[in-house]
Amino acid sequence: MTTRFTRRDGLLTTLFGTGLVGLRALATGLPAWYLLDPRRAFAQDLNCLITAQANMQYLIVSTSSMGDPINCNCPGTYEATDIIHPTQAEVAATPITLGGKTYGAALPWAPTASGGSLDPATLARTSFFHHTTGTTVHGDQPKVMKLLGDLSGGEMFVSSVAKHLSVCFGTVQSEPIALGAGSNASELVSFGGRTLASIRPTQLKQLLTASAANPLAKLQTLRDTSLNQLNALAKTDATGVQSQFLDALATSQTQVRALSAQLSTTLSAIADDQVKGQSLAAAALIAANVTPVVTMHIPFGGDNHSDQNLQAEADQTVSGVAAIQTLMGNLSSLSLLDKVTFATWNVFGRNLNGIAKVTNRTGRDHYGNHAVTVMIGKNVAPGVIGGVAPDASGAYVASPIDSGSGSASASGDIASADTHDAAARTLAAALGIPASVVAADFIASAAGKVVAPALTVVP
Amino acid sequence: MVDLRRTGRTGRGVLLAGCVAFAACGQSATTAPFGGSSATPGGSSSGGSGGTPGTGTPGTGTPGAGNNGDAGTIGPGPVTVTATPWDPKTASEAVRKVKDLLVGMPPTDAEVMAAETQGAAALQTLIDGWITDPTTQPFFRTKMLFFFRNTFQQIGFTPTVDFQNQLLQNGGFDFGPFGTAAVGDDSFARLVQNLQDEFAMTAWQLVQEGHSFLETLTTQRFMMTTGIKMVYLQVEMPNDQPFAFGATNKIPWKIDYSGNAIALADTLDPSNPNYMVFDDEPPATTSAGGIFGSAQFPTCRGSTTTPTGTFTGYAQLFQRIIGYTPRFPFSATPTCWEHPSKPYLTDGDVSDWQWVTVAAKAAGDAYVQPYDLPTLRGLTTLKVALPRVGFYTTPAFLALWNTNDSNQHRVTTNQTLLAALGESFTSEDTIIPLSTTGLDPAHATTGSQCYGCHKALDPMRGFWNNQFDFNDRNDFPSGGIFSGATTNPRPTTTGGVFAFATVNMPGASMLDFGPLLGQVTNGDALGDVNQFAVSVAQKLCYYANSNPCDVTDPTFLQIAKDFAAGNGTTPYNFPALIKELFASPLVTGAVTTQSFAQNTVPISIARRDHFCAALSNRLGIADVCALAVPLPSQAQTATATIAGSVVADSFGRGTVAPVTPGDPNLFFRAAVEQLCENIAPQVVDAASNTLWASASAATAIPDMVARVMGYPPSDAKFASAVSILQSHMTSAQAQSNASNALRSTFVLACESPTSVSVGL
Repeated sequence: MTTRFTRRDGLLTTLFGTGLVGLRALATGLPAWYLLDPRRAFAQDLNCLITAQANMQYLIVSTSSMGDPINCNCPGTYEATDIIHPTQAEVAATPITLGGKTYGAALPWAPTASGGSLDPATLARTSFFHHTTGTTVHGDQPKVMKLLGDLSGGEMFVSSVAKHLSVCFGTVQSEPIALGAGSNASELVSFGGRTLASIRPTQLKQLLTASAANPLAKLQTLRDTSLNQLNALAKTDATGVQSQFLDALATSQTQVRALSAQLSTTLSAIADDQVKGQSLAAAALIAANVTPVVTMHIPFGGDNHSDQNLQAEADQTVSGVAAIQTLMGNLSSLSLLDKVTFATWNVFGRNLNGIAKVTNRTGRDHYGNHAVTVMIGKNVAPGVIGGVAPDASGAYVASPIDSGSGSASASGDIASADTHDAAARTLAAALGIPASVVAADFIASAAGKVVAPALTVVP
Repeated sequence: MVDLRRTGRTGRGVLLAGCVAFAACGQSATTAPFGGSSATPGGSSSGGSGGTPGTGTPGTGTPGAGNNGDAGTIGPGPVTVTATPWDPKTASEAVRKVKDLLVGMPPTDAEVMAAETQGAAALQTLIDGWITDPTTQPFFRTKMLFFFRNTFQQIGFTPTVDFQNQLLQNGGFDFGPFGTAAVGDDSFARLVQNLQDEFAMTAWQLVQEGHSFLETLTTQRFMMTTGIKMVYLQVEMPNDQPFAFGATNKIPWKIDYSGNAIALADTLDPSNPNYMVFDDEPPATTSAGGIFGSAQFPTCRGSTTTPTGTFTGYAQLFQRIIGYTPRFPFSATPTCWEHPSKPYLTDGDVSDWQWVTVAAKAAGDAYVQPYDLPTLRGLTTLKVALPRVGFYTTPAFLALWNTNDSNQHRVTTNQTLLAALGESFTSEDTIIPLSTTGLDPAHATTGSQCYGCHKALDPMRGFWNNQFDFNDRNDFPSGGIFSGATTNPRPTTTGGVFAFATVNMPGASMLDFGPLLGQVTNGDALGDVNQFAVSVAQKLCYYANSNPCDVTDPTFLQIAKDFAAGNGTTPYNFPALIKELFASPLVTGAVTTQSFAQNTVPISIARRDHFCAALSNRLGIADVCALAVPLPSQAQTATATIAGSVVADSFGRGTVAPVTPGDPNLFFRAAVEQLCENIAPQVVDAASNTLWASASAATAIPDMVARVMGYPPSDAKFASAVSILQSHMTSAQAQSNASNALRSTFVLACESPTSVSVGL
């Protein structure tokens, strides 16, 4: 008996110990994230761990594996005069006030009264968090989403917060939905080690709005009953993995029917897969409580190695900020403005100065030493967190941050290399997730801390 | 806990696959604009990929390592496992899964019975039959062409954009503001399909002729159509697009706007008055709402005031050949706007697949002119300057992974490793290259994270950099020309250093790269296994299970070793690998392996190509999802749009693992339901060639259960399934007419658990 037990035990250890967590999840029926860290595998992990639920937020994230130059023209980059900005009037340097302080910024970031694109109410809940991402590779967007390995089990940050929020919100699914990835695999989202398919806004519209003229659609209810019988038939001798698959299949059928009715009005306004369509689809998915996290793609200049006069950068700064405001409008029309936080999370920023093409305003290259995450939400305090400072060569990089004041400080307690994790922890706090809850999602050696001045309330 | 910065079994691969500083756009690939699959049940052809391979005379021999010598036919070799009975459930599910994966067909009673009696041994025999029998081999071919297109990363490019490097802006596939609406008929669309299919067809033909699969890394023979040959030559023509102001002696040619046909033979005959005069015959189909030829956009076709247009340059002449007449004059306000014309490239030119050997053009050799279609049609040796070898130098691969003056072929190099070996550079690589020639000084700081990747990557990219310019052409512009092209002078040496994993050797030219690639092993202390063999086997695991196999699993490693060494057959016998892997517990779950405990092999949704192939083959409708139709009708567009919502296999830039989502979600569910509803009228009470008639519902329903749901008559669930469908028919008929009732019954079968999944 001892031998047999040991052999079986060893077999299971091998099977479940080789990183095939998704398979373990299938085998056991427990979510993969639950299996990834058995040390914290307590029953309450499957319950809502957020006590102050009034402050919980859904999350819409704009990601870009292009590494757009959003970091080059936002508040916090205009005080150093040798940082290069486009010179077009549409992005002229404009003073804006955030949390009682005045900063320079490209015109679109200014309130509408000053000729900018942002509603004052939006600006009043907007923070610009300066940090690093530590990579210069487009394909590293998934790694940046995983905080370069600082989250347990290789989970993505968006999926990590989605797990907490989905339980509390009771969303249809726990997994985030990628609306803007299109054919770009780098902007797909993984959850529990499994890559999720992306959805285009027009697909969403088509899939969930059946034609009333289709005679077969009219027989759907009847067919659902028969389909349940076929599912039951398949389950009569199903194994564990088969049963779980069949249950998921049945659940998906129920979800389709429920959502078709609930989302029809909003989805009918979707006309394309561009930012406008993504914006509508994101709002609709959250309004219907489908998912706690949606990702989209708002261009802010793209991969502008060659960008004469930084024209694309200027133009897309205008369109990008306008798209953010449009998203806010869509959320507002669905009474979601106080329930959703928006953020950007790009693979890297771009050079602020120090190379010829930037000086000549003919383009910018990849830059791992500075990026900016824009956060907008009810729990976000307006301001600039961190900032930039020149390195030994004179190139501007993300400064260390003093977590007490949120200011850039050479002696700050958050090192420049840790600002990425700090931005993530702060964003999680802005979603209403306590730092203690989030901390369990990080590996032990992960650094960074919540920067309280970025928040109106610390959960 | 997993630290991405320290992960990787051998210090290579998994999570730092993208550590190289690719400065090009972050593109990736999923579905090509013109689809990529061709379902051809019954051997019929649909779209450009449906041509019959081998209609020409295959060449003999292939340079490079791994050539088996004389070509044979598909032969998976002998049964390699002992006969052990399976229980009925295991037998039924294993046969249903594997037959669906390989040929998209349902199991029969006899097949299930054989598996019950002899288990994996019977399944190996069945696989042998499915992939060699003339009635099912076309289905296997279609499935494998799909697998090869993805595995060798040949699809996912946007032709009008991603070919602007190789075929130039303002020429080639760059059709200006009207886009493809200004291209006549379907030659262009089918040529794009040809480019997507070129290497998949090459790999298939190597397999079908019994060659070593390792030749996919070294082959200089490719399956080509006349259209593809034209593209290879066009890439090497001078940069003479209209705005290449530094170009001299641009080839002159004319358009005769009369609309009358001019025989190509006359156009090519220097003694003929119409020498180098091309016609402007109208295309068979018109598009874009009739804007071409309108008062706003006159084409001059039939005009007497502008009888001819004078053009220069190969770049635009190429466009005329494929059905696009450029605007005239090109700059300033056009007198004759660009418009669709009848292509010179015929249907035959985009379906006449044949072996073509790419040979180095000697200094004294003249190019065959890319517009000389009659000569191209018979050409089986193509003499060009750029080295073309393996999957990693095809126009499609180079378009998909476009490089630039900053990236300098790093992306090309990295994606080649990912596709061939399933591994990539990491900053933890300890290998010290024999030479650091080519190492970018910006990343040469020893000990830095950049250096960790670049020390080996940069010397390796020399294989491409030294023979392809940054546009993957042969121009190597020296700079100073008005177009602003980046200086990219021709290197004085060729080749590079291959320092990766277990191989650290220089190569004299691109031709040496493939053999070096084929020498990499997995570095396993318990016995090296060729990494290409491991990679191919792993990609098939993803194909079958939507999940990886454990690469340390002895069962998996033995299969990879057998593939590399040949287990009763020749080394790198791809059909033998298919036979061993798909009959193994890694796919069937019949017994416990290190990868999966017994009966725990993951169940997956039937992703788009599995689902559509199964429906096509079982319903006898070629390309039922309309994925491969070059110019789809309105109805086909509707079908393809719905099918496009069913998640498909793909791959990504810098990504080791293929993208193979396996979980059902509401979007998948909605998509398959709509697709089934869309197909129903084509198979139930269809206007012609209907598969089932509502007047014969009593016989139709059992057939649906066996054919669509995959329960053969002796299956324990067959009778119950028939009963459920019959009951639905009765209930539906109470709410609608008989046609709709049986169509709804078909939809029920079509979206049933066994139809939309792999593994139930």
